[in-house]
Amino acid sequence: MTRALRAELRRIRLRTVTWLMLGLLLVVAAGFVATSWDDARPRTAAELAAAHEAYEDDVRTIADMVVQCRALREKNPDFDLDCDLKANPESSYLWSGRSFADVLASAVDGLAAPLAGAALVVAVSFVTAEFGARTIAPWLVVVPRRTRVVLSKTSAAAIASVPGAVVTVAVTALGLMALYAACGRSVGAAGVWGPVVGTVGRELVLVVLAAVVGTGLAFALRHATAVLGVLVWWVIAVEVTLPVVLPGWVPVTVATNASAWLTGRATYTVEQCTPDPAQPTTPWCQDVEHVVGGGQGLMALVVLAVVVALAGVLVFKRRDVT
Amino acid sequence: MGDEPAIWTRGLRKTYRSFTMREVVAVQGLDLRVPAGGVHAFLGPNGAGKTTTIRMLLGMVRPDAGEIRLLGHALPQGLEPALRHVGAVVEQPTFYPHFSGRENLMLLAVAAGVPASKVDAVLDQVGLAGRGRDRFRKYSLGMRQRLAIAATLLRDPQLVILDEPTNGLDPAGIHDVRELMRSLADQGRTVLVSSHALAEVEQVADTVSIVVRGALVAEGRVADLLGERSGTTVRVRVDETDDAAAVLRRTGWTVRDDANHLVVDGAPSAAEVNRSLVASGIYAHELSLVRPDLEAVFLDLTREVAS
Repeated sequence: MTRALRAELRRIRLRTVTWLMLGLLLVVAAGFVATSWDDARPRTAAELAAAHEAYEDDVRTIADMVVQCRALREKNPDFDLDCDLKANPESSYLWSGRSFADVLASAVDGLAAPLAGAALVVAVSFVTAEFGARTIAPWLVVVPRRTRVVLSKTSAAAIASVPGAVVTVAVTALGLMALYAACGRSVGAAGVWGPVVGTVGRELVLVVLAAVVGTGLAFALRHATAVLGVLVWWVIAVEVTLPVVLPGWVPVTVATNASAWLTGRATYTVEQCTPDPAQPTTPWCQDVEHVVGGGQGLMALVVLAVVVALAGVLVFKRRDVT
Repeated sequence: MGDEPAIWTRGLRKTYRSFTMREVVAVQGLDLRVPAGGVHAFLGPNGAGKTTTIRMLLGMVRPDAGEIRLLGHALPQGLEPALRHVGAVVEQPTFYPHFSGRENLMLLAVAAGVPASKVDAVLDQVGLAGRGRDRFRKYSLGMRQRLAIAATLLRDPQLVILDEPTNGLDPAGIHDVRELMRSLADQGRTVLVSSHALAEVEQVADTVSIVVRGALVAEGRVADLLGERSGTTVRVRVDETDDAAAVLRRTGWTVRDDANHLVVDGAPSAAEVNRSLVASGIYAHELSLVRPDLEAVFLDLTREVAS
């Protein structure tokens, strides 16, 4: 098992698809950094002038309102009027962009789907390429036990997905730090890294599960196009259509469970109707909110990965390699 | 291993079923015995079930029925210990096209626990030392065959299974493979070679099994198989062909014209043919015993089964 795993890790490291996916993830990371420019950049002279002008306008307007207020209060002493009006601080008139902590948290959240997608693609192609090139035959001479073949390939895909994800997150974080530092913005606020590390940890779990699902599908279906077909069917039938047709089945969707796992909870609403005592012929309906917890989301994702992986093992063990 | 054959099968059977449930019997009741040591040729026309049999021996295809013993291990239970001592090429050499030849072998070597130095040694052994770092997809068919053979040698196997190993090789390459098979056998290993290049196999094989339509039709030592069918055909060149043919036919032998020669079937020996001709005052310019080659034996057997 160890030798086979070492060989598989060596192969996945040499594959073009692995590096291509890492390149795409780095492009995504660069995109997150680039789109944060508007948050991080120094304000322009025109923006400062406009903000100052708006502040001055408000100061004048509020001064007029105070005069009017006091005049009204003098005419109507019975009225309890508070005429102590003040303009907001001038700084509030200038949108200074989100803080480094907010932007980093948002970017790391946004990386979840690309990271999982890349892990899925690498895992699927890692196995289907083997069947496509028919290299599985000589491999089986060296590693004859089918279960061992599945385990080593699945483990390699799962292990290999982690460094790519870590590098992508690190590049994103370092890029944002560099951007904010270059713009003279603070990057060292207390409590920035704790939540981010927690999110990254949960994303790594998601990425590993995506790799397991990918290899399982590939062993079961053998062809990348067949896997793609099943994934498209799943997205259309389960992720998109099912929540519309049967809202109560939302907890079976991957999107809901992944969201619950990553954020700690996901909510969905189901319309519940009961007979209205006042009008028995007309039901009384209301939307009831349901919650999918983080643990429940993780459990659902693990069950899905295990079921797909077992399907892959069973199919691969039973089918002839010709 | 004593008298234990390297490969032994009994009643081996495999039927493929298509999506339309059409059944194709690839192997039907094959009893195969490959003695340990030496080169064993596994012959048969296309579709005879040779590759399917090899796949069953390697655990890639599950037999519908029958028993297999490989290097003394009963399959499928003993597949893993048996394959530790087997190197095999099945059908076309298949490797990762974007990796170099050396890297392809390295992957197999890592999985098999073989040191990297062995990779270079086998590349050198098959004449690919200078091209090991080229990508596999740039290899010619002959180079691919050599790389596949190199892969079989990584683990110093007791049994080497080669499926059509000379496909795509030039004459020098064919000669090299033949030499390699012979040297492996001389080292005490068993080489099972399936091939349609019967002349090539005949030069190197010690024993042979011939399969037709998934069943064994002949097996034994090559010399014995050839010997069983030799001595009955004599080729004669004479001036008086009509007279000679009449004389020989009177003795009860079958005679046919073949260009400027007469071909005599059924005579006990060339000397008897000569004696009959001389007795009638006919003297031969040329008299030779026609020894069938393996190809002739193979064609005879396959025709017999077909008819």
